[in-house]
Amino acid sequence: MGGPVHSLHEFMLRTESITYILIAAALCAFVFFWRFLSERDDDRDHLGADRPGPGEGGHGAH
Amino acid sequence: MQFPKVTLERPRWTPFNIVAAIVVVVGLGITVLRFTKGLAATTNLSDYNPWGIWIGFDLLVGVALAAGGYVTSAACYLFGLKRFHTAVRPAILTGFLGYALVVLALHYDVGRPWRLPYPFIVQQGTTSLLFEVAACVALYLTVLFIEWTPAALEWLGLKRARNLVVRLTLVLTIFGVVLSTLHQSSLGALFLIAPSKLHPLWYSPYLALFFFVSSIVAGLSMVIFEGALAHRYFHHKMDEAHRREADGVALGFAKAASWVLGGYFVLKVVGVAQADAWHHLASGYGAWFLVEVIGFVLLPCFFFAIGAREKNLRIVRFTAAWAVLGIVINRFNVGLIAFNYHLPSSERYFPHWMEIGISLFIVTIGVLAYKFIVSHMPILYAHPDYEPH
Amino acid sequence: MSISRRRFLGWMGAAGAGLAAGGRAHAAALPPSGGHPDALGVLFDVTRCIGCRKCEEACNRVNELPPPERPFQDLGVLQKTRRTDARTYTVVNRYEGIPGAKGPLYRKIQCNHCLEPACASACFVRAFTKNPDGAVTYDESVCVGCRYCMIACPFEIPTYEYDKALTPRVMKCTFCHPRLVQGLLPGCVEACPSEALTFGRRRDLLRIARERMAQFPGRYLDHIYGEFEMGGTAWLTISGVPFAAIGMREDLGTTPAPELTKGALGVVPVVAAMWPVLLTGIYAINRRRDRIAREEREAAVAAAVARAEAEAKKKLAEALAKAEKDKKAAIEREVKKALEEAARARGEAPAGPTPGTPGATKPA
Ligand code: SF4
Ligand code: SF4
Repeated sequence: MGGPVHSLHEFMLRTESITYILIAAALCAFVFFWRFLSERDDDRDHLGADRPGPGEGGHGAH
Repeated sequence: MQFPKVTLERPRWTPFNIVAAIVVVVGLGITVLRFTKGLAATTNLSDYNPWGIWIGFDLLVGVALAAGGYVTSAACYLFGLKRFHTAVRPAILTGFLGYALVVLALHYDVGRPWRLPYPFIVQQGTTSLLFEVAACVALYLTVLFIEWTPAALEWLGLKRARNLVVRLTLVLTIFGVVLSTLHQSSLGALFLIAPSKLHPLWYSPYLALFFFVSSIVAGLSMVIFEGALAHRYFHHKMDEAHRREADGVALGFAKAASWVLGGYFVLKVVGVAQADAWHHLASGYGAWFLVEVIGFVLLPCFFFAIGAREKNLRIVRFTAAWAVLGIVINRFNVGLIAFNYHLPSSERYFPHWMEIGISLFIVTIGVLAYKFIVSHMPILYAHPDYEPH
Repeated sequence: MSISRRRFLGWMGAAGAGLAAGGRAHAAALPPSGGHPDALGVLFDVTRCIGCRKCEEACNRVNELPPPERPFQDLGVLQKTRRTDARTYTVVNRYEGIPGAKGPLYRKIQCNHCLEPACASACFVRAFTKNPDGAVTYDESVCVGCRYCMIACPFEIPTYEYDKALTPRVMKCTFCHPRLVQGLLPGCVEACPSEALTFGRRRDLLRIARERMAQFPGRYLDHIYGEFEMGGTAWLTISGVPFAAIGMREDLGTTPAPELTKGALGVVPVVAAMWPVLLTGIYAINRRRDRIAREEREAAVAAAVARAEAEAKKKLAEALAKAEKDKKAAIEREVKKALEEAARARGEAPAGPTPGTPGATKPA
């Protein structure tokens, strides 16, 4: 990805490619970070690596 | 574990089945022609008009109308509107079918469909908004597929797998909303690169925002609209909860759609102001623009409001169809009608009948798949063995 | 303080040196533009073109394109305004009856080899390359055939082989890149008999154009088409009549194509980063609200149960107390009755058995 950049197009090719990689990494990281954040909560949610409790608020409708 | 028995009844020759059969047969014929004789034999595409209705309708409209999946699952799972729970599965199903058909349609449109994965695996053109659309559509189709699998897994009786997928609901929902926001808006942003070709009343730096906001309207209206149709034709398939909640869903979504349409209308007007395109309103395109913005944005907004206030389901359902039509008109305007507005009429595009044939063919496949799935899988009712998720 | 100040000044000096040296230090502050400094180009002079179609013929020959329907010598073709198509990289059109022009004027169309090509910016497989020599070339081996490049090109240059079922390609002028590499001139430039096409470094061409304008006052409009249009193009055009009169759009603006999509692309990471944060936040807030509501509901139920229990207990106690009283009263009554009866019996008859107290102590 080195080399001299002569045009806005080349510049954006570089920046956007890096951005997409960062986005992908960030989205994955979010999942784990949220898990880490709410792991110790009493009522863990779907990301908290636990089954929803019976009648649990999040999604049970009836 | 017991696999379900699929009873294939002998097809009955109802008017619907006859029409569907004709469309499918003709569609298959055109398909053969398309892949043996090329685009020239089956379309009216030209060097001035590289995109026809396979993009304008199948892609732009198809993706917008499949927005019900992300709108409904976000309302239910993220915004905590649990009364809409029974609407989620049908919306996910139509969303999934919609996106699958969009991707199918693209195979007809692009020159070398087997290269469709190239942007990901061979060379990434990251400066292109189409790259972003392609990536998001591909990922979102996967997300919708996973979101839909619980219904199929319940049908197949695969309890463990089903519970595993259900646990992913939150991640999938959030991921789905992110992807939808991105590609719904980017479909509009595709045209940002061609300011000289799209009429100034439609070209706007806000194109991306227009497409995103109107996709919410499209999603809400489609859920109401499909709900009405499902009630008409699949009433016997619905369980008690579904019937009980259905009216609430329609009224709640009508209120939301009205509110969002109000915001969308303001945005559209601001778009004209920002482009200083007021003087174009006096032209023929201007009149057509006013038809779109007043006739298909402002009026549906108003009628949704009346329907929601009066709790009148007939008005709500009628307005839903109206608003859906408005979205179709908007996408046609941006993609086909106001695009290439500078060209003489002899160079303008009008679809070949075979292009329309393929579009009908694809819609028909969607309806048939929906019928099959709704008749066999727990979509409109909760499977007795499982807790709703 | 003084150390950090001196260090700060040192950095400033270094930055200044970097700027003076040009190159990347500058690029870091502002995205670069302008393309390769030595990129080549062609200057097309409308006032010199005689509409002989020799360039078309040469283009067809050197690019080995399919033979035309009507021979290149047939100038009757010029009656119709044409455009590039899948078998033609360049065409010359005739424009008649233009005010201010003595006779018909001719204009050659081909890819302008933009400095910031819209086609390259739009292609999602990077099929287009802007080469250091200025040529924008196309690689058919990756092309998917989405035709977004054709949507994007403001000059409506790329065309498509719609009639090929399995191997359709985008077709467009290559600036004879393969010939340039060999040190040859582009086919059209070589063939032009009237020197309407001048080949050279783009920056030299701009100078040449200005010199011609100065040399022949009144012959040219003071506008080099392509100097700034859509961020600038390698092919430049000068003319004596407004460009719109010879079919060139004057409303394209000077914004390079990547600039048009930059904003929308910039929103992508914002949405990708902030939507999960916002949505998970909303979810968590709703969840918490649900939980608090549930807890409150449970607490309220518990309180109500406790209250009901207390009340019941109180009632029971009261009843017991009352019953106790009743019992006592009843016993007293019975005792009194018994005594009276005994007294009477003593007076009247022999004593019978005393009737036992009946179950009157049942609480009311
Ligand atoms: S003129 Fe069109 S095809 Fe040629 S480089 Fe510019 S954008 Fe690309
Ligand atoms: S048609 Fe080919 S070259 Fe043009 S944008 Fe699509 S993939 Fe790129």
